[in-house]
Amino acid sequence: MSATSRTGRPPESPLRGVLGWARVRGRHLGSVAFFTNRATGLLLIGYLYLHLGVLYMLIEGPGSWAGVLRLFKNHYFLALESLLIFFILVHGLNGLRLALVGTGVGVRHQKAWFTAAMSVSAGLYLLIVLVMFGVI
Amino acid sequence: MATDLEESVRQPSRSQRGRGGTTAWLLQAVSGVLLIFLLGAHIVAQHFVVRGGLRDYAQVMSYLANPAVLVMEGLFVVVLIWHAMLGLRAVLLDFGFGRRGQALITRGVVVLGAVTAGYSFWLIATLAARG
Repeated sequence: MSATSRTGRPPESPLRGVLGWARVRGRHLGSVAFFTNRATGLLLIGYLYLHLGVLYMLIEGPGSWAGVLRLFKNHYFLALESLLIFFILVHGLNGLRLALVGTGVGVRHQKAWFTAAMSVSAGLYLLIVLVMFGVI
Repeated sequence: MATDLEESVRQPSRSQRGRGGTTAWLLQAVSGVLLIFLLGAHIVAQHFVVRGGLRDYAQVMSYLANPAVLVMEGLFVVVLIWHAMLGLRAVLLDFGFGRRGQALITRGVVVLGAVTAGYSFWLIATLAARG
């Protein structure tokens, strides 16, 4: 095995690639957006399994599901659920931006794309929270 | 300036493509776009249609009795798990494993995805049969 990779750079040590995501200092916006996508994606995968586990309560019957609904309607739980929606919005819109930029669309305006994606996420999040808590 | 910006944006994509493969990256992007619609429909149907938010047991059964809903939820499960497993694979490949490790990771996410999809379809089918 050679000491350098095909790109001519030294081979990366294990973990370097992963730990490298979190090194935000001195990084360009594209790397920050990439890290944001990975981090929110992992959180959402964790939530997927939690969600599938909770849905088993439906199999157990109406009584179990009623207990789940009581828990879900608690304001603390709603606040946590709103965070989940925020992660979905950020991951979805930032992912869409990454897909467009990755295919060469709007590469020169990537800063504006990122700002727009985060602004729309924040706006939609605020709107959804207001609906969730019955303000509007 | 523009070149620097371009490089900063393209670098992660290249790295991701290099490790995960261009086909995987493309499938990830396509499934991601599909999820915007499918997940959006799922969230609206489960949280914002019924008065008071979430559906109670009887409302869930009535919802799943609709064949169109079953098709949409089934498609949602497939696309979501596909997207999640490709994403998980890309993250794991960032650890910089060798070829054998990469092959093991690919097989591992295929098995995990199949088990997750199997459980999800069992859940949907069992509940739909009760409706």
